[in-house]
Amino acid sequence: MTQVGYSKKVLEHFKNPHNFGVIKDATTVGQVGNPACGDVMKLYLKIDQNKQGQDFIKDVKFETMGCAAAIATSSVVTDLVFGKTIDEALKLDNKDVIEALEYLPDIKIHCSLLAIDALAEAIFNYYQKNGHLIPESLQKKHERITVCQSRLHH
Amino acid sequence: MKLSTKSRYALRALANLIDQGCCCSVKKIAKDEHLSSDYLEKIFAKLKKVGVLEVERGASGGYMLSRDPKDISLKEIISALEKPEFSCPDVCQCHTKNLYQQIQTGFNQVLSSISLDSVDNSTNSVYLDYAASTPVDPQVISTLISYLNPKYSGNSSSLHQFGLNAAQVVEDSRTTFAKILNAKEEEIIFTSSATESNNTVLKGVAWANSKKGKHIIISSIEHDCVRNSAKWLESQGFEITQIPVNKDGFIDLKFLEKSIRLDTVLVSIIHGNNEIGTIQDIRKIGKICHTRGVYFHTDASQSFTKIPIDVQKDNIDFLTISSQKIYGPKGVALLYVKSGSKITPLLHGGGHEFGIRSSTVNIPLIAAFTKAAQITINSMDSENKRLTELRDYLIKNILTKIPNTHLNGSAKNRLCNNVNVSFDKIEGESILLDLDMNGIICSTGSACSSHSLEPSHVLLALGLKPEQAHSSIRFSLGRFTNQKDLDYLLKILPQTIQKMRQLSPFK
Repeated sequence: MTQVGYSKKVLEHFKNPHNFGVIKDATTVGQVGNPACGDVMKLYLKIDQNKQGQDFIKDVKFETMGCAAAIATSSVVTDLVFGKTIDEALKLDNKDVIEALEYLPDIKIHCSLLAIDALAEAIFNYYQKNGHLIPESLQKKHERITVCQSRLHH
Repeated sequence: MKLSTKSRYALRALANLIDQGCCCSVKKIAKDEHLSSDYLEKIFAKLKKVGVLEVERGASGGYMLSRDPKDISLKEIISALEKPEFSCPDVCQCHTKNLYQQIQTGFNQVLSSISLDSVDNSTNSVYLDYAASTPVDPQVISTLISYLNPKYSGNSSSLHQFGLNAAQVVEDSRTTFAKILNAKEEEIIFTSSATESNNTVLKGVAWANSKKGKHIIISSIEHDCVRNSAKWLESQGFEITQIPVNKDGFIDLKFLEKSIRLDTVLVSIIHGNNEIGTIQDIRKIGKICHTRGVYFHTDASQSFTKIPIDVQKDNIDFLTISSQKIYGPKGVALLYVKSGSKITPLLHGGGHEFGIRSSTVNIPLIAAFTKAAQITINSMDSENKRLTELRDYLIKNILTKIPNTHLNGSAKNRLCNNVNVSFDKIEGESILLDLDMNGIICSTGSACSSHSLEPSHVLLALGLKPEQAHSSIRFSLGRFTNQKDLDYLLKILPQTIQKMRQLSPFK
């Protein structure tokens, strides 16, 4: 049976979004989307080193302008990455986001991609700022996102 | 069968049980409804026996509905509790026996057709989406049901009495609409939807007049059914010109005059816009068209019964009206076709509706549509005055209470029930959903929430930026809207907007 409307999980996250707001002393920020398309996501990460000396996400917050799915995907991404190492966070893809939200209507799948892109951009910016070697897949992702955004601006 | 106190209490208690949303003890319901617990227990036991209720196992031992309330009819409930009233022994052969049996059958039919779901009107929602669709007026429901009677079930093309009964209903309806619009009866064509009416005009006029020319003019703020019909015609070799609108949504009349060519066959301009409510001066537009010998069509789905329409004075050749916007049922609409107009039908068949729309005529829907129109037209003046006051109250308060908010469409020449506003820096669908969670039903100005992610072409045509178009909401008022509803909206809306703006990265 085709589901009509949003899942319970999407509505829950939309009603009470987790971790929304700003991290004033954020280590890095990732912003994707375009107001002309109706969605903009901004993800703030506070990155620290754990006992094993690995970078991990100590705190995360988001700001989103967009539909309910955009807000819910942002909220759930903050839950998914909180406390994770950067390497673990980079392994997340939009299917994990959709799974965590039970399901998304087809027309809203792009919101889950947007949320994952915001995360990738934040990590990319962090690596770049610290002269860290950028993995090829992340570099490719960054290029795709940048092309995508500049195309949208036209 | 009659409805005794027992049945009334049962219905109240069952509605309460639905509200609870799960299993509930008799005691709690009895307390809520101020009934005796023992008395209710007896009623519930009977309902359990006939399979309407189930008992939850375990210590709590509450009752729950055995099925979805939509699948439980009032007949099941009432027959479990009442003795049949209208019955006499089989041996009895009195004159009224047949009549009694008929009454009994009719009564049972009606009760079977009503589900427990419709008893539960616990919804406290404030419905502000009348422009999308209106609830069917209770009097119209009665009309609809009465014309489902076998007496009217004949095919209106048949010559026997059943066919004639049906045909007479349609002809009476035609007369009613002809009077309302100042048209002739043979100019009224019943269709299945405004979409069908608009498709018929656009394609039918294009096909029938293609020898004269293949140029059609529409405005940039037409409903999708006109817009997409025009787009399709474009793919078939027709040429389409879109007339731009100014920031209030009025079409540029000079542009229209300049755009009409020798090969132009049709101008189609929406009367009252569905999104922004702007009302075009159709009389002037019609006159321009007629001076140049071009057909004029207007889609009056939103404006009919809100603005008086006289097809002769307003220079109209084709007019679209919809039932579901005027408290009638869905699935029926009307197309006015001025006599002598050249139009090719979309549907070929038995030649119904003067050959313009073949299909067996839908008597109950047409009768109900007509009833809806009569009711709405009769109260038009006072109702529109009331709605205008409510509309202006809402606009004024939204604009003053919430910063960075803009009205879309004309402040003055606007449908009496339409309010369309943009809220800077946020997105419409999230506003809609948050309001929905607070029991307020409205619509986004953009189509983002439904099938398309594109911002509304109507709002873009006004000159709004895409992000402004994405941030708009339409509230449309109607017959059951009152001051209290709007005050509730005005209490919730500022909180919703504040919440969404807090979430937004743009401050």
